[in-house]
Amino acid sequence: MLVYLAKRLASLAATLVIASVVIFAVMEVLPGDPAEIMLGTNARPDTLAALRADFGLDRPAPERYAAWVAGFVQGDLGRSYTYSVPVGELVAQRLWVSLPLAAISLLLTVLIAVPVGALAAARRNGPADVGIMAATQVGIAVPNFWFAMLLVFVFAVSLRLLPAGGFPGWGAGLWPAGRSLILPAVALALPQASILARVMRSSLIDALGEDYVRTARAKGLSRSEVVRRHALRNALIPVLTIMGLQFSFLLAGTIIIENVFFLPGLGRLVFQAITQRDLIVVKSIVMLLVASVVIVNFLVEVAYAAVDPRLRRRA
Amino acid sequence: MSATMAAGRRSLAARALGHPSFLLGAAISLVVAAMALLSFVWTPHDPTVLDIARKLQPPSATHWLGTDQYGRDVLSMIMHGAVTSMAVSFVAVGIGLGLGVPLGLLAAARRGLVGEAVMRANDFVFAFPALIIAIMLRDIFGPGAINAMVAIGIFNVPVFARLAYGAALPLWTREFVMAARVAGKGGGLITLEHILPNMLSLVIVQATIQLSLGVLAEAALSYVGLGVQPPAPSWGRMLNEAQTLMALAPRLALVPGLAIVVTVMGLNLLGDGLRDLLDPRLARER
Amino acid sequence: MTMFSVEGLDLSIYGLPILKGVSLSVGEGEILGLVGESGSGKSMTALAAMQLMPRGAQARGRILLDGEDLLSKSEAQMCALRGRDIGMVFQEPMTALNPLKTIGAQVAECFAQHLGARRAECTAWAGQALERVGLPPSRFPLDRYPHELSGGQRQRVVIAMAVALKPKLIIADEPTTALDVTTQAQILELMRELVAEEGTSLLMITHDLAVVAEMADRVTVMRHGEVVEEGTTAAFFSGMRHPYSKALLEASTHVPARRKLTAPPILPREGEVAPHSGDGGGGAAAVEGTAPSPDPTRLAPRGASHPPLKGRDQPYPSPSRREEGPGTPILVAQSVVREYRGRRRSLFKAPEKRRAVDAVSLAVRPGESVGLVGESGCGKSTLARTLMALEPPQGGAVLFRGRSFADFSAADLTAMRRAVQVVFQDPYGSFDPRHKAGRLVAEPLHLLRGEIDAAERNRRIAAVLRDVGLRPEDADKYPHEFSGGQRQRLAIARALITRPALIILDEPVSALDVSIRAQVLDLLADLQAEHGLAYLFISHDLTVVRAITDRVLVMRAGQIVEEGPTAEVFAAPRHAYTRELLAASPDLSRALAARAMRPAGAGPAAGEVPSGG
Repeated sequence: MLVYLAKRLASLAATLVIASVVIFAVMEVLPGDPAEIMLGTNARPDTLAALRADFGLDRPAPERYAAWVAGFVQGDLGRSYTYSVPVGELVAQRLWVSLPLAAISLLLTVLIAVPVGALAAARRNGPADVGIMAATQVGIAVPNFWFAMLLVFVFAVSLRLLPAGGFPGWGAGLWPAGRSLILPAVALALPQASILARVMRSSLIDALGEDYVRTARAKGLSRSEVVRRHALRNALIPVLTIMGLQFSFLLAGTIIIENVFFLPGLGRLVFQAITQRDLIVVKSIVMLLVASVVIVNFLVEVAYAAVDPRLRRRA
Repeated sequence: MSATMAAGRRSLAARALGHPSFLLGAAISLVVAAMALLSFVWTPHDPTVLDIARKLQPPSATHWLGTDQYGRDVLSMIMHGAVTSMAVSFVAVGIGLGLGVPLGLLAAARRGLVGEAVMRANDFVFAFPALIIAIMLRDIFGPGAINAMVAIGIFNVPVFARLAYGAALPLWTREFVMAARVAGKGGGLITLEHILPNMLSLVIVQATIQLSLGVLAEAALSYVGLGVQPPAPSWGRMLNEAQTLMALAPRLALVPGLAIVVTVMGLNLLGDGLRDLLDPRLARER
Repeated sequence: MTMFSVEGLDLSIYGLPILKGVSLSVGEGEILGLVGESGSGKSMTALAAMQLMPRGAQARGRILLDGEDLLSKSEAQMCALRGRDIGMVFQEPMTALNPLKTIGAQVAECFAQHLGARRAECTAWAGQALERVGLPPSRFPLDRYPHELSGGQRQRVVIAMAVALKPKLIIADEPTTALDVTTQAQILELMRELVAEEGTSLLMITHDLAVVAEMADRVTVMRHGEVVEEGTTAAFFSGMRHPYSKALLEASTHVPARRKLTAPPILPREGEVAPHSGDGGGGAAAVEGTAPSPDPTRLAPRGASHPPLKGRDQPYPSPSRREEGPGTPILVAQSVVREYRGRRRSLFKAPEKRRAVDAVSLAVRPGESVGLVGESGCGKSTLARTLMALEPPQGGAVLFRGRSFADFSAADLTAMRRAVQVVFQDPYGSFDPRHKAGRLVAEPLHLLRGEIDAAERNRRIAAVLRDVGLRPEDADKYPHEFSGGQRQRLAIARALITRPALIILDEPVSALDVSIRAQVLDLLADLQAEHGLAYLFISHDLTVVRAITDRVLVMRAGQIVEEGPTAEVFAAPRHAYTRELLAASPDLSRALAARAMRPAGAGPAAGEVPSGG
């Protein structure tokens, strides 16, 4: 187990290093001089040069890469070209919106998908199954941002139950802040839950076809006892895999949904940074997002070992 | 047993005709494709012409789906949007197929260091969601259809590479492949004669699924402004423009949204149907 | 007294009839052997008794357990009954246990389910149950997971669950088919003990008449969903009436007629040696000394320049052993080593290496039939792949007509492949399902590209198809249109088409039913005589190897432990492992002989008159 973890951690580190090089390289070849964008095209050459020096843009690329990575590791993400504040602070603020949003929608996804998928599998080919399958078929096809717009129209504009957008900040209290995350989280979760419910269903059906299920039935367990005690846990292994893969979709979804609801999260920040050519912010956020995908997939692998004793080895 | 399998094989067309979700999916996909093709030669109106005097008209005989806030004909925009949607997702699937499948086949045929390197590179690319790639590449290609195609295409590469690798690896341990090796055939020839044909149906099914994901991704990228740019019509951008008018003209948001949902559902149903009809596991081992 | 009986059971799945009027009965404390080939409906009969039939199944008739009709019971009643009154043991121990639960928990579940006892009590009982089946918790803690046990140990766990609550009836569906012979013998012994101790009735489903002869008090034979014959074991074997039973028995003990070789008897009698080993002359020398030393190859000078491939008449480098075989060996293995990288146990140590093949030497000469016997995982298939140049050896060398594979040019490899072909085990997996038989059979002609034209190609396809008993028209069929036995004929045809000198047969009949197996063995014997082929016959099945080989090598854990003329090795095995293997492998004649020795009345049904078919 330790050997396995060490191996995985090493490959995780390697992936992150390569990712940082790729991101840095791609952002480096971008046309456009950040200094010029900040000061305007008719700024005086010496002012531009001073600004470049200030941000370290005049140093050679490897040196700047090293400085960026060193800073990143220490939590110093550099200074935003446009806001002139440390990127770290900007990101930290926004993270407090994006992270809870992602967490709530992930939780919702699992809470919806697992029971619904399990029900469909247990009632295979029955009316409940057919209904659930039809609903998920639609759910998969719905773009989350469009679903978000419909939710706003129904719950905010028509029924006036929930805010249509904006975020009061956590300082305003848990409920007012949490309230404004409900619709975005639901919009993100339902399409993802549709996919996961289908995975859950087919993996439970597969598990129910396994020999050990027949053995358990021969012991005298009823159909539902077999599902609860034997098949369910086995069925969760593929579900875990898909959840890991879904995380990157969830991240992308968060970025887009934040735009629908005008939430001051990382998604809004990255789009503002793009239009303002605030490269250091874009670079850092992209790195952060990629790192979180890699780390989540690592955690999924660790979770595998927790679920499956075959991956755990006796010391 | 073998008799029923033989019957199953011969009547693939007959089984397709008896498969409702396949038929529905194929019908929807064909309608969308036909609509896109038709838009090259005919649309009710020019979707790029602004006519403020005719803005926000409800559906009528001249404008079947009404007009938007700039007086453009919604049906014409939907038809042109279908072209954008299809073009982007087809090219993206093409990129994924063209690069991913050979890479996966190579990794499976040459395991060892080559295979390991290919699959590690794949895992790496997998860490970049299409949206992130689109953000990174935006300034290289400029926002537009190309950016969306490349971003979604890159995202598709590891999907197909993993699929091809995963399907080819067990095939390489099959006895018929060993027999081919004993017959003196090399890795390339065996891949062409035995490996590729036996996984083709899986690839086709995955391609339909990636096509539908491509439609969704293209809409999302256009919605946030990383996809096609005005005046080229796109379902995603139509939704973006309709957002502020939700209370006033919900129709403007409903129509492109439904277009996306129906198209994606059609492709998914087609994929599911193809999986049932072509799945080599169902066709052979059972 | 009858404990369990099936009366006029008709069963259909979605209207397709599977069982037709099946009747059988098992007395109290009796063992009934239910025999049949695949598709005979024997497993479905068992599932019907458990009321665990597949979807769409409709059963009519009566299934009585201790006087109660199981078919009329509700699902809830059946749940209370399964595991308590009927225990079941399945064929595939590798998948029969839940991989995510400990063995202790899985056995304890039986007690929890039926006795509603507290967890600690159930766990204690589970320990006792596992102890009874030979897995004492001191050596096999209850918190072991199934993947930490071998196949035989897992089957013991399944048996522990089946007998946990001392059921009235145990149904065992091919309980040892997936196991190696030595393990099989232990499991059969265990089951016999357990049912004898408790006086439990046992319904033993098997395809193997030898297992029936060893285990059963009475026999019921099924075919195509019908019972064709039944009776006490002794009466059944001494005077079976139904032609199918006779055919089954004939096939089970079948020995193909081979040129130069009178069929060795089932039990070699003293002093009897197959004539071939006599004219070979080296038989005694080969088993000289306790450690088997296939020295011809060992003496071959390493790195010495080998003659070119065309020099077939070059003397073999070891003249002292020259007279042993009738010619220059086609293929020679010289202390071949094949290693796999094992698991890394610690960060700081190199991963352990697992030797799948450990310094194996052997030689196959023209026209000779060499057997390679061993249990699963002993490395015999890895060795086969190395001999076919599909995997390189990490130590030692493989020589084709005196030249090492390592020195091969592309042309040499082609020459070797033309001369050495292969037949695999799985009649389903060895053909690309998308190609027609003609193309599949002709695939090795790739080795002759440029040498033969299309007409010759077609002529050869037709010829080999005829050789193996198929028709030339069959070339236009797809593999799925052939039966398992026909497919194996097709595989042999494919191996023949380059006119090889040696065919490596990797478990060629293991996946076939006994009656088909006999036909394929006959075909192989005929082809050998007709074409002067050499065979390297790899199998786990001693009966088959004994029937068709001149010389045999016994392999265990990557090493050859014994080697010699087949008849001698079987008559007087020298190595303890060979003896163990021979003793463990079910042998019909021996079982019948032992049965005859058994004092009358030992089995409850002994001496009864067969009730007729």
